[in-house]
Amino acid sequence: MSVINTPPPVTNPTDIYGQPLSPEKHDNYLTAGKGFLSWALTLDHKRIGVMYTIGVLGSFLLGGIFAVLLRTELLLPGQTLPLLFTDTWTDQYNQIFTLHGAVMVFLFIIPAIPAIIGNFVLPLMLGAKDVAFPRLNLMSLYCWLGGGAFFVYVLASGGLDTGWTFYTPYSTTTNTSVAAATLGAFVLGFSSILTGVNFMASIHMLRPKGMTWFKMPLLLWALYATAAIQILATPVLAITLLLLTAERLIGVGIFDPNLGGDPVLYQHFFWFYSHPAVYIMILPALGVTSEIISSLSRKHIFGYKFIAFSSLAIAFFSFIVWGHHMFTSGQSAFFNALFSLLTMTVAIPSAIKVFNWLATIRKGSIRLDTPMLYALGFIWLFTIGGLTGLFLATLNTDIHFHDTYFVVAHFHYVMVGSVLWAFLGGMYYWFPKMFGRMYNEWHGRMAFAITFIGFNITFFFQFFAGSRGMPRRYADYPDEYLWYHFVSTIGTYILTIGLFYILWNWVDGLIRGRKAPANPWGSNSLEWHTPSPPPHHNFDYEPHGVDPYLYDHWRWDESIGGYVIKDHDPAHDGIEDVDPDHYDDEPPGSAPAKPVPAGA
Amino acid sequence: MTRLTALLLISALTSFGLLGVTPAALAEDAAAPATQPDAAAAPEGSTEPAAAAPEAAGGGEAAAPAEIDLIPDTDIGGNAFLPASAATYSDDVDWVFYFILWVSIVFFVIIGWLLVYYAWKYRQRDMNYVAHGHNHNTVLELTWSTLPGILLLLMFIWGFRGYLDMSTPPKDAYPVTAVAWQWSWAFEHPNGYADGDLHVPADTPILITNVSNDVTHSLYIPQFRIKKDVVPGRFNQTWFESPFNAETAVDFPVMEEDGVTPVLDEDGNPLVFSYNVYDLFCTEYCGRGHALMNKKVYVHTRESFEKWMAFSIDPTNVPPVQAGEKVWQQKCASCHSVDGTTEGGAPSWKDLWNNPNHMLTTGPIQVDEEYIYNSIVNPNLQIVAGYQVGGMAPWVLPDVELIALYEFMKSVSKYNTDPIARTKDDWKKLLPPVEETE
Repeated sequence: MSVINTPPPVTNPTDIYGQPLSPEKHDNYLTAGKGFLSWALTLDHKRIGVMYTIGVLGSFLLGGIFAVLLRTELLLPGQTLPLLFTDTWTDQYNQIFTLHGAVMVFLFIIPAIPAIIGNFVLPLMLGAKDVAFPRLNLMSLYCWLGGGAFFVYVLASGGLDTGWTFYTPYSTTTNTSVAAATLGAFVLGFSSILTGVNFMASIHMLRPKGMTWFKMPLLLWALYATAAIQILATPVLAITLLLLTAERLIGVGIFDPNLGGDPVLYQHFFWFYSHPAVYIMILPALGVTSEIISSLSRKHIFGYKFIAFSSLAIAFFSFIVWGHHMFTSGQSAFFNALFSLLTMTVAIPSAIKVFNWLATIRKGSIRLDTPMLYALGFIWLFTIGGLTGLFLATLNTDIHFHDTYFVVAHFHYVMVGSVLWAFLGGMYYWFPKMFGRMYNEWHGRMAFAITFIGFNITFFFQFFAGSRGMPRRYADYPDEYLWYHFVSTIGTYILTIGLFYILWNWVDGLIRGRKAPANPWGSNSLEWHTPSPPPHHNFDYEPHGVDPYLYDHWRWDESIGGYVIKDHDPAHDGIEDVDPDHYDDEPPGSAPAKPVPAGA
Repeated sequence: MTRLTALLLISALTSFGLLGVTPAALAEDAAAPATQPDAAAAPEGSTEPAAAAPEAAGGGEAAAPAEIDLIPDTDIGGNAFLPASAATYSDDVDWVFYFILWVSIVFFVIIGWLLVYYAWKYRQRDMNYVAHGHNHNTVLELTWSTLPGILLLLMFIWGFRGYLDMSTPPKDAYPVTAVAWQWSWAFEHPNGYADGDLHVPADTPILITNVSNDVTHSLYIPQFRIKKDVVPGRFNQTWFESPFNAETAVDFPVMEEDGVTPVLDEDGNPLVFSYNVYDLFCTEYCGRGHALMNKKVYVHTRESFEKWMAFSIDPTNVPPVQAGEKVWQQKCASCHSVDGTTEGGAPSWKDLWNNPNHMLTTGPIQVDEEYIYNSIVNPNLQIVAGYQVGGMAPWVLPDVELIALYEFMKSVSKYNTDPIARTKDDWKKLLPPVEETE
């Protein structure tokens, strides 16, 4: 384990050469405007990212409270929780798991990485002042808040008990606030679409001189693929939810068999969005992991083009596999076979990424700091999540596992184990850049250990409960499954403790953390070429595109606890990129070629 | 504090484990003399241990002791991964499962080991060291793209072949219609008899046709590895054939109401059913009672199945009260309790019959045959105070079931003053005399 570096506290922020910032440059995006309106009406992508952070973490807390409640209800068979919301405990459980799912999916996982990390980092990675459409960006934040307001209304007005999937005809007959919840998801969809449009336009239009498509950081490829899904799939959800509302309020009969409709049609519509939505969640996580893996291994990413194209491949395949959610619904054997085969294909680009990450860390110089621990944890959990997906893609085994805890465990390994891990890793990784302060490394690692153990205890045993036949969404269960549920609930408590530990570590870092250097990790993508936190307009010079995975020209500076540019040439602020192939023929460990600063 | 809570939980767990589980099984045996084969699923066996459960569970858990063991147990056997397989094609499913499992384990061990090994071996020692090496290798990339591809193709092919077997019923299968509603099941046999549990003959292909009365449900029998959604407007079909397993089979002697005298079959021998029991779950979320929509599958020997059918098809084979209880279990119990709770969202039948204080939204009413009959055939006509219109759909019950239901409701009410028909002979008084046609 590498030594935890605790350099002397630095009182002044430094630039990328390790020099203290001149007083006139002390102003950063956090201080470049004061008062409520300077935040509420800001067009600054960084401030919007920070506001998303608060809102999305608040939603995560809310969804997490429901998670703890539902696991507590399942601690023992029969009623465990006192009645809090409703008259009957099974209704109460149904509301809790529905709100857990809906809040987590719509308010937390979908916006988490794109809206927080994407918003903050994407323009910086592009060396741009802001996203392509700053006003649209602010509007997407308000759409998110508006959608969130609907969910708050749902909480206050009779709850929701349809499951986050809103399956008809149950959702058209139950007397909970389905209409408000679907409208909320509808509005949140716009937030997602606007973010996608913005990112796609930014990547097309704002790349700096020298940044070709294949010189982009892989996070941008991932966000690009995500944006494509957001733009193409989310409108389908919007239409579906409108149809559902119409069905519920005026009985148009598209999904009601009594009026000539078909409930399975709803499932097709819903999963046509919601399966790609799974990749809206996971693709940015894959991108974040690629960044951290290469940067903290201090080694060029392996198989850049394969990773980049696998993101696009996943985005493409995500649109043609939705039917695997309906193997038991009565769709024809031909469709089932087709969707089973297509689903298998998704495994290949996912596997390519994992193998490339392994090849990247091989013979690297791996800095086992908190972001890297989360990235490595991500690979571990994503591998389990991905491999268990094979059981669900295969037809006859899926018939057995469909709608059991096996599925619950599988998608939590992917949605929580993978997405949340990448989100936490990304937050730790960019935390110094976002807030200009360092978190406490030791506590970060401890919190990782607790969350990792807690997560695996919670969800690993659910695979066995499910494969032995425990159906999902059950308020009660036969004693046969008692130990799986009991252990899982204990794991939830451990995970919860770990997550609050992380929150404490972040808040502690914000208040007491030492001032962050411009580049604590020695990364080379453009966001590390500006002080932490960045100035209001991101860069004091016009950055040039660089190969984001070449680390040779950064030197560790003990006095500031970060990396600085080796050859300090104040006359020039851009860094010319170096052909990565240049290194290919060198034996490992040979003296690195020194990049030539441009203009020298 | 945490330790105290853990101790509390564990003590609660053990007390449920000892008092909630075992006595329930014992109570089932004690209740077995009841003349119906599905007494194993009778809920009253479950209320006893709950009453005996100590307060160790603490405030929250003790709030509703009557709810413990809502779902009775079946020994599902098997290993850590899968329950014991009990249908002809489920071994195929298991085989594909173990194939994927081993592929997954091999891949996971390789990836996980490399991950940990590399992370440790190549950990950072010099902050300034920048690692160099190959950063692309097309041959390697293509290799690790195509090799898993071959394995994936194998999984697909074997999974699809198994699936075709599961979805192609033989022509001569015995047809059963599974009707699902919120929140129970009825399994209709070709002769018109419907039972709350699925009774089928062993070593016979069974064709299940799913029918939903309201929302989407799903029929799942884990030990057969089958699952099929019950979608309104569709008639989804599935099938299975379950071999008779003599090792796990149960012999169930049917008793008269006294609990001692065996019921005799036509040949004068004691009537004994012989079957394997499996769990049946609803796996598509369907609302409040979703978790309680569990039934049993009884796979009889053919001989036992015929005896069971002959016995069950005639409700007068059991005393009216028991027949009524069976009707209640099958058709009413998911909403109407008989223990005073109203968690099913409907008035409890405990102490309902002849209750002088029973209030409708319009005022008090006498609870008698007429009121109950009206409440079944036209439930929205008279609404109990505190409830709303539309909570229940109209039902049509045969006369014999209605009569049995009245007797059962009398038996759970302390206000009842009528004699209760507790013996089979009482049917003669209750049913209109059969008119001999010339």
